[in-house]
Amino acid sequence: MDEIRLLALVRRAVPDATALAGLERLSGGANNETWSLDAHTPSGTVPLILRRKAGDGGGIRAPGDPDDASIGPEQEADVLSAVRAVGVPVPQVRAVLEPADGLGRGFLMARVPGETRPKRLLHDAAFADTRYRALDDCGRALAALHATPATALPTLRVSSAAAELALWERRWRRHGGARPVFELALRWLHEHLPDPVERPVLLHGDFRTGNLLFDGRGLAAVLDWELACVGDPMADLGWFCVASWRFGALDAVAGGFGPLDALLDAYRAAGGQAEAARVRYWEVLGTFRWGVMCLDMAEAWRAGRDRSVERTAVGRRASETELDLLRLLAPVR
Amino acid sequence: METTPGAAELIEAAIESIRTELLPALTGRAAFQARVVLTVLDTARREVLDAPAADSAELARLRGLLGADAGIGAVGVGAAASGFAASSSEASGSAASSSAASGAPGADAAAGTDAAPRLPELPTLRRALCDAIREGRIDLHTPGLAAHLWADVLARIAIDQPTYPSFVREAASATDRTRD
Repeated sequence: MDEIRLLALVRRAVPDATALAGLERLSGGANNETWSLDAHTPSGTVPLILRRKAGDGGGIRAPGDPDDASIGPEQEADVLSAVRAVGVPVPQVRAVLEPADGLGRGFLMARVPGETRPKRLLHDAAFADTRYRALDDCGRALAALHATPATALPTLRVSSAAAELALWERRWRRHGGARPVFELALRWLHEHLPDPVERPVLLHGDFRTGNLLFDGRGLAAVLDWELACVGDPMADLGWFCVASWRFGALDAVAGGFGPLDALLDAYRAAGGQAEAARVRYWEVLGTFRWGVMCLDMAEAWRAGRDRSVERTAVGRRASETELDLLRLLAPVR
Repeated sequence: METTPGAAELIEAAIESIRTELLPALTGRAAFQARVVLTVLDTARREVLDAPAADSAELARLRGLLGADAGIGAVGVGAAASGFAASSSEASGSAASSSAASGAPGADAAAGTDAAPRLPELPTLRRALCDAIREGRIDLHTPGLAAHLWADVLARIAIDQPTYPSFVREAASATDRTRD
């Protein structure tokens, strides 16, 4: 990270910044680096986050992969601004990187104080109040983001259940693996394919515990919008329910926080229309999707795009999704 | 009597060294990385020790499930519900130890791993089962399928991630059923 260039960028957002401090790379997402930094000014410190596209060869997906579902950081910044305007809690975008900045592609945003770590949020006594209200906050945030006017948004991929199923089946086939449980899940997903929704809406695309930041007052920021797209609003709710995102709170189906009904009630109270059967469909599809994503990470390691040992560890997590798919589709009575 | 350390022992030694000698000297990102390395080595050790028995059990169930003509996709019915043998302690000791000493890899065809499988027939039968499910010739109404999938998935995740909450729950209830 070139700190002179970085300071020049920060000055576009914080004109009286005199120096930077605390630059630190946070443990990161699949395709983006996240850097934390503080801008010093005569009147105090401004906490910031730089979200930047991983450098050449640093991503999970191969460059130019036609099945890459992620949006660019410029679009992500536009989405953040659009949802912020309709009351979804997200960090304020402060500057979008330009080629002349010499720092790659990305954007600078406010660093919102709070907690994202699932194990703390779901198990620590200090977060008992947060847990109690979390599903109200999540239902409200989901209803608000799903109601974002299309005119405020950049052009986004439209994704029906059929398209999503085709995408993730294709990605799975590309691995050439033989996992009977995945085949069972694919049969079920084809046989239960829901009708397309009449009115596709903005989806976060990765709304789950771990991407949600809570402070003492509740949900303070919904993070990581790189998989935003347009489609069935129940897709976001189903993904939120995938067992891997319950982090040990196995029976609290909705993100580890509580029962699905509590989330649906909050979503409806905030004006959303919820349908439990569709949520379940997307939970099954989401569980399969996470399994394929695990294999994608192993593949990124094998292909040399990302040689971090963590990718191989996540690759071995594909089997957790087989177990969760069996629990959904062939529960032991 | 074999006297040089086998693969599982080498991994065990590496794990112990990282945990007791290296990790205490590390902080921040390096400490995080070291813990991920430990996770990976733990998995590799469990695979060396337990995958041969899981492979043998899977193969036996697949033969029952698919019948003698598995290669051409004929479906045998009914023979294969072989229960929930998932833990290494139940595994056949000879299979596990001989293969651990020779360092044979597990036959994880799904993960596309790095060497020839120990049981050459296994990937073929596993693929045949996938094809049969995909084409609708075998489904959850087929006697033995659900039992096979449960047994296999529990055996694999016992290697991959024995602390995964869904596994802890299901392994406990499988044990309860065996006691009944």
